[in-house]
Amino acid sequence: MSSHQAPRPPLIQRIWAARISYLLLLPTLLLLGVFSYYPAFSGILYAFQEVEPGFDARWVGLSNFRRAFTDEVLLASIPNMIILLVGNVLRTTILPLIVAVMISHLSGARLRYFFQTSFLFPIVVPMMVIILLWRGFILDPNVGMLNQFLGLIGLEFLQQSWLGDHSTALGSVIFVGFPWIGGIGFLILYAGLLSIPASVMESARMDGVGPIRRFFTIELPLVLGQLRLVIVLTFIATIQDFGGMLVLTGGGPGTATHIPALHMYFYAFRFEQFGYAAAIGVLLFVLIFALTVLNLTLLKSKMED
Amino acid sequence: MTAQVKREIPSYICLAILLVITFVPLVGMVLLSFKTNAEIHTNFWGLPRDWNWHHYTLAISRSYIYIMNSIVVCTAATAGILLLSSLSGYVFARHEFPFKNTIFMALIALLMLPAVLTLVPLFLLVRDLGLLNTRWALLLPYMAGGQIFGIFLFRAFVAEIPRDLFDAARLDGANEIQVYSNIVIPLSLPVLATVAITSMFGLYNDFIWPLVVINDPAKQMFSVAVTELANDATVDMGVTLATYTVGCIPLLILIAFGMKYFVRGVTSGALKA
Repeated sequence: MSSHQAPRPPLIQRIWAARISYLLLLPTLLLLGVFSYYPAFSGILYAFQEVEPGFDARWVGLSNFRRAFTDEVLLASIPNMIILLVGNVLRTTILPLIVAVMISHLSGARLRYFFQTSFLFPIVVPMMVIILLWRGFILDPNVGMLNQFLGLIGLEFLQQSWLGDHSTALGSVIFVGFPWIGGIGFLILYAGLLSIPASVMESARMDGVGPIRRFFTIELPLVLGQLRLVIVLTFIATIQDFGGMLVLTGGGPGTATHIPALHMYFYAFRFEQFGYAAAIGVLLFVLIFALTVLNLTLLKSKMED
Repeated sequence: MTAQVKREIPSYICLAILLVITFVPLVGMVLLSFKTNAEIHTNFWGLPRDWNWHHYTLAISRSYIYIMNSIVVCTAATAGILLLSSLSGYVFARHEFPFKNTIFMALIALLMLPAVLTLVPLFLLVRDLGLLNTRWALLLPYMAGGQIFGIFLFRAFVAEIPRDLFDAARLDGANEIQVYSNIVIPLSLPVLATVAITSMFGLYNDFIWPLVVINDPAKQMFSVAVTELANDATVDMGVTLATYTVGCIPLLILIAFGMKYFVRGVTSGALKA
């Protein structure tokens, strides 16, 4: 059965001998070829074309990209995206990490499980329902819980049209989902903390290390890998997911919450300028790629210090 | 022991407060769903004076079709994902063939492919194939994209199955399909559950893709349809909230059976990090 010292048969013969393997992989490869690889390449080609309904696509060189760099609405959406990137990274790392650390140090296993499960429970609510709840019943100026609560405790002067006002819209969008714990970031960080060997914690306790120092000298360095993963996932989601923003604000008021991915959506599916939309998609892909690489190298070098 | 518990009191207080804040919107959703518009304005925080159960009959009748659409599409796509990823994961773990690593790397590379790059071209492809407004427009891309993560998990898992089992089966004259269905599948039930639960969750929540490829309201998924139902001013707010609550039921059932597998699915990516 095992291969002897005999010379390897020619490649074509080995391929034929393994035909059953290729046959079993065929459905996977076919689907990926048509629905993943092909659009990835055609998307890049579309970015250099003008593609509009009723007309044949025609090559326009770099003009879609040139247009992107002079499109004032698109340019106005970039600062919003940067604020969202920072805000979302903070909200998917800080509180989830603190809560995960707290839970991991509770002495009862049942209590740890109770808190982990309870914080996770809100995932049974569909993402879009969470968005709609916040839009219609928490941030809404009339029936929203937030304004009701401010009225209840006598702070009427703080009541706002949270999503409707230029100055508060973007901040309110970031605030959606507060306290932001039940997501996958929390799970990933918690799993990372649980994988820290008990002996490390034990010897820290012997040395009388307090919780703050323990966090910065042991836990934070040891979950840096998980933290890096959460940050990368957050970056990717923030740049490309426009569904929440579409439903929350539609990018408004004005361009107060407009983001590039939403711009791409509007140009593709409202104005049907698919070439220009594809070019924005390519630019966002490049951005995601660059940020992922940057994130990996920066945090890696920090870890090696 | 008591000193230990005493030291943990601040943690308990913080966790309890955060837990309450986490649950306020959910509890509010359920309680307000029973109230009339008038009561929402006059008695926002209290328990409902009348439990208007008819909000729920109304909510079910207006959202039933969309929830069923979501369940059908998610289940069918997940079945396809399970079949494809278990088969391919097995082949990558147990077969030797030329270009195996090249092909596998080509699959891994797809994990770096963000949806934002493929949204527009994939839409144009589906349109040109004449699939817009059909379930295939959802199913085929879902199966294509969803299987990659599954292939990873299956490959790692099947590689751990002792080689002797496979050799023994081959000696007994089992063919590929028999090895797959009599050894791989029975042993990898936990992986099947993990992939099934994670993909069901992801697909039930998917919003952008059904939004762009399905126009026919009768075929729409719940995640998109609910944003239309939310804007319907002809019903009480309580009915809208009851609709949201009803939309949670499929995920609630999924979590009741498979919380463990969901956690495993999410963290299996993290432990490699």
